[in-house]
Amino acid sequence: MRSKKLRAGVALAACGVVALLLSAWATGAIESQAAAPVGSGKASPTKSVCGLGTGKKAKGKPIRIGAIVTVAVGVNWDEITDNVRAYFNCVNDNGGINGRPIKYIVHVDPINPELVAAFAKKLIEEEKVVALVGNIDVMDCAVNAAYYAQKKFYVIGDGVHDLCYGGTPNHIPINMGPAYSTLGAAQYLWRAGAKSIVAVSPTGVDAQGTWNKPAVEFAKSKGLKGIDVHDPYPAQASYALKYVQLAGEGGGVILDFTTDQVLTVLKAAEQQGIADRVLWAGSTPAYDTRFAEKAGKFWDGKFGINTELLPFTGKGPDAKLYRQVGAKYVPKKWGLSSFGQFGFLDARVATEVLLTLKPSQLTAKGVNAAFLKIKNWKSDLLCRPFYSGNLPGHVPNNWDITTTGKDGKMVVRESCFPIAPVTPEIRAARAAEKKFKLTSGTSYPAPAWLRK
Amino acid sequence: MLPTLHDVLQFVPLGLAVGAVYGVSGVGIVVLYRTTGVLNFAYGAIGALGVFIAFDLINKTSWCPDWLAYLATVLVGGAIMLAYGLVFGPVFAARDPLVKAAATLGLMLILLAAMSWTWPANEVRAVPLPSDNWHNYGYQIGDIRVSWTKIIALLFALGVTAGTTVFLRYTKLGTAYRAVANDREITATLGVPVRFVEASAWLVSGFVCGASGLLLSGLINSLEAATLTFLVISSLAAALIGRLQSLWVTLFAALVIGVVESCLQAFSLWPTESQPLAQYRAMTPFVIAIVALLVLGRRRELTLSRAAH
Amino acid sequence: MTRIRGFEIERGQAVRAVVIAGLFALALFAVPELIGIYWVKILTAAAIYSVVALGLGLLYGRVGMVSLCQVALLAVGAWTATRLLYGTELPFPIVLLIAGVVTGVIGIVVGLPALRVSGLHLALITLMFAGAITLVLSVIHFPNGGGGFLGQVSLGELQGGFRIIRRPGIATSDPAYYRYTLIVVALMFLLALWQIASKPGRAWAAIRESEPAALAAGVNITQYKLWAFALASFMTGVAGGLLAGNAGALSPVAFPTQDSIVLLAVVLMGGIYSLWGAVVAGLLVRLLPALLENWGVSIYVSLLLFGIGVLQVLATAPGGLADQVPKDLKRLGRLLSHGFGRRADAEGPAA
Repeated sequence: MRSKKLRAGVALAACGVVALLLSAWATGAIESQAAAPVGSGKASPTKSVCGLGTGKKAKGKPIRIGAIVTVAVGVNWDEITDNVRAYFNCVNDNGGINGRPIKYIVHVDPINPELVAAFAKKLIEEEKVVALVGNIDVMDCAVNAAYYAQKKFYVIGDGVHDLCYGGTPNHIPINMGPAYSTLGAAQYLWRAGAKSIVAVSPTGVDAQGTWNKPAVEFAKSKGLKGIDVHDPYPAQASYALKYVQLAGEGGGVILDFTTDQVLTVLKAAEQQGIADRVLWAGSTPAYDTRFAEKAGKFWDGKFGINTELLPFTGKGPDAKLYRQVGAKYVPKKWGLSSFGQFGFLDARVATEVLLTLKPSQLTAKGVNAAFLKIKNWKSDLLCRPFYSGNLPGHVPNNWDITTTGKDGKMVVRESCFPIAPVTPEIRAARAAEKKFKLTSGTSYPAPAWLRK
Repeated sequence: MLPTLHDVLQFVPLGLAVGAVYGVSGVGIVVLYRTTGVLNFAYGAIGALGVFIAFDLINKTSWCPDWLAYLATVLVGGAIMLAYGLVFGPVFAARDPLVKAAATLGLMLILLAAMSWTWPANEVRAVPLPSDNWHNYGYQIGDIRVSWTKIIALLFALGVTAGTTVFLRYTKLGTAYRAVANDREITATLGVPVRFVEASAWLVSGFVCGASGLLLSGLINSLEAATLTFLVISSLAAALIGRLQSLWVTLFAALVIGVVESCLQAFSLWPTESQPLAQYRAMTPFVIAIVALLVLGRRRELTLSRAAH
Repeated sequence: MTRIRGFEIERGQAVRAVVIAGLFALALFAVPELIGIYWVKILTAAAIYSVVALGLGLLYGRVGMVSLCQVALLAVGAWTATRLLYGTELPFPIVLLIAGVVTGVIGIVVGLPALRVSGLHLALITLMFAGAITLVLSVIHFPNGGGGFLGQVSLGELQGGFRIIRRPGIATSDPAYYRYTLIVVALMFLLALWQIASKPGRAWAAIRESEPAALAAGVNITQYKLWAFALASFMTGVAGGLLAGNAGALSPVAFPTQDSIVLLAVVLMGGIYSLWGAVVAGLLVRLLPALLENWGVSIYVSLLLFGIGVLQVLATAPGGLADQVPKDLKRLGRLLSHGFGRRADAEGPAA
């Protein structure tokens, strides 16, 4: 009996090994089938390339960059780090950082705060990364703020926790975060004539329960009824009726949910015949290019989704490069989306900074000091130039756009508008922009075609 | 700010429908438990897997008609439960119910892992049911429309409960079920094909599991592994109130749980705006089960370590 | 499987005690020097979790009661400790004690239905209770340094800015906190051992064997069952306090209901009849996923392994790894010695 068990065990293990080898070969095979080099060429105001754009693989000593990302049952944010990795791979295929490829080390956090603290230490002290790019984690900014401050690491990432948006000097977010995105949606609703604003965020993911506060404050400042609601995933059909009741006739509802959860609520509202009693809006997590298609014609023009970035379907050079990198380097399970854009931009701005540094400056100290100097960095995916600066907190992305569905596609409904300055963090950011001229003047890093 | 009665009543139809599905699951769970002694914690997960497969069949293949995909859900539910019952039923047959139930927790974890890996949460998924759109989205009751899906759910629950009760009482196989539930060993010695009875219990319970998964996913309009898996807790609460015995009590308890949970949504500004009662509605199955147990269960049970109930 | 383990001091026991003490000393002093800081933090987490597993092992293995809400109680302990560590200047050990007592009281409240229902019903009730506690926590959030009973305010209103949860003054660095944790964990294990060796342990064994017999023998079943819940919850609460210090900041999302089920799985796999099983369980649930992550394997693989592990353990080795590994080693030993013996025989007479 024992030998049977042993044999079975060995057979199983052998199968596992074979499966692993096969999958490794398969992915390797796909990569080696690469045809024309994506992201190569000469950079110009109308063409963006990956890094140096030489089309040749970088072969020097790797530069190590790290990230911490939350992946758990129901939360798959590795879309962002996969996109960061994709861009870095494109850079590595195009000459790397002055000949040196980037090695991207990502640690996956299954929502375990002890692990998040451990990962930061592992990345910085054991794996000796020179920078952290693309962090998107439920607890990172809170758990590691003091540690990053001690080690003088300035993370270019995508927040989540409140602290990431203006509450710590060590996080520089490309995105504006759920609270401000909801605020942007509130602004859209007010302009659209809503008589009240009901802001809904997901319990638990909104760990401190504060994501709706700026939107509610904004509503009250405009004389509208503002209600703060928290409901857990998954969104149920009963949510639609509840929000419509709360908003009242002609009111507005903001859903700070991801796409599928938003669609649940919308479908329920449509079926129950109550959809047209209120105006609907959503924050960035709801944005998905297939949203209009999935929601159906009924919702054309009736739902405004706030996206923190300009659409990647545009004609600009960064948009085009994102689509190319997305098609070639990003795993097929991810399509093109806002989250993908976040990853792309995180990696792109980090790369451009690295390319300005001398070899001796490619250390943790040098790279992080350089990260603080970013100013007036433009992209056709961003409403306004990106910056960092030596500030107590960063909210560089504080302009917004609203999209809506039309004939199965997502189109821009309101182009770049400023987020209302209802919180001290936004006010501080705007004041700093003016005072230190962070969105005008010489750009750092300089645009690729002006790079010396 | 207390809600008006009108506001509260608007939540009843949906509550009845969802409660009905909890009831169907509960009945399936109770019948299985009575016949095999296994309380299947993986019930929700099995149903969820069936719906995911239906989703892939509908959206990722061109040859599969919708009705076949729905049928597949039901069949997958039956197949998984039957496979588990045939493989692990004999293994745990002599153990006490707690061990049998704990084993299904293992199955639940396996299914949850497999589903989360195969269908990562990044993609928008739903398996809408055709009855959602029948008769222009349903009947107008007051200010809202009630879809056919909800009506079907309620009718299905009543039908399954009534049908199962009749089956158990008046058919030969049903009597065999009750005999096996009462005492497996004696029933076997009387020449009843116990293994066959148990296998059929697994299979049919599995069909019910698949069907309720499909209905639930259609009612709440979402398809996500973890949440569908843990909605089984409401069904378990209903089954618990029925003392894992009475089918009608299970259904009734499930309906009550569904309606109360749904109607609590109306209390979203009461007692305060920042801490409304509505936020606690997920506790409904728990609270109702505890209250029912304390009120109804006056009997004190003594346990022997290896005896089945 | 009904076994009553007595605890008499004899030579075998003494040798075992010395070996365990030696291993503990090794873990305490040598390990942080030998491994990187990352693994030190992982082992701290595993040690904390082993206490939670110890509580469940006590409830299930000694008394026969399955509680599926232990992780929710861990969250309660962590919440209490967080609130006290932010809001007061109490010394860390006192905070741990208070967190343990508060959680113990709530454990008794959970245990009260236990008097009325048997194993399976209890498992269900505790599962729903876990959901309820998790829900309440997600509504009131974890304290972040603010005032008031709940201690949670928006970050803008925090006096002096955001701070992470404080650690004991003598153990602020990670290796020091690891040692501090190990000592507290050892105390919890000793507490469990002491209770098992004395009257409660014998009462539990009697209850697990046969309640009517225990009742007839005059054992106060109610009292001892509640005491088991109180003890398990107390230990879990203390573990929660250690967790708060280890993590620095917490969120209700870190204590999902499914973790209570995973805990049962690893406790079964580790072995419910031996205290070593709790250590194995802690390593399974915190070290194994970290190793898998290190090797680039998907996190869902650990969930899959736990599911398979539960089935395997329940089907073939109810004592779990703690029971099975020594048996396998013994069998291996006998196989080897048997092999040697036969060769000697063959050489002897043939010569």
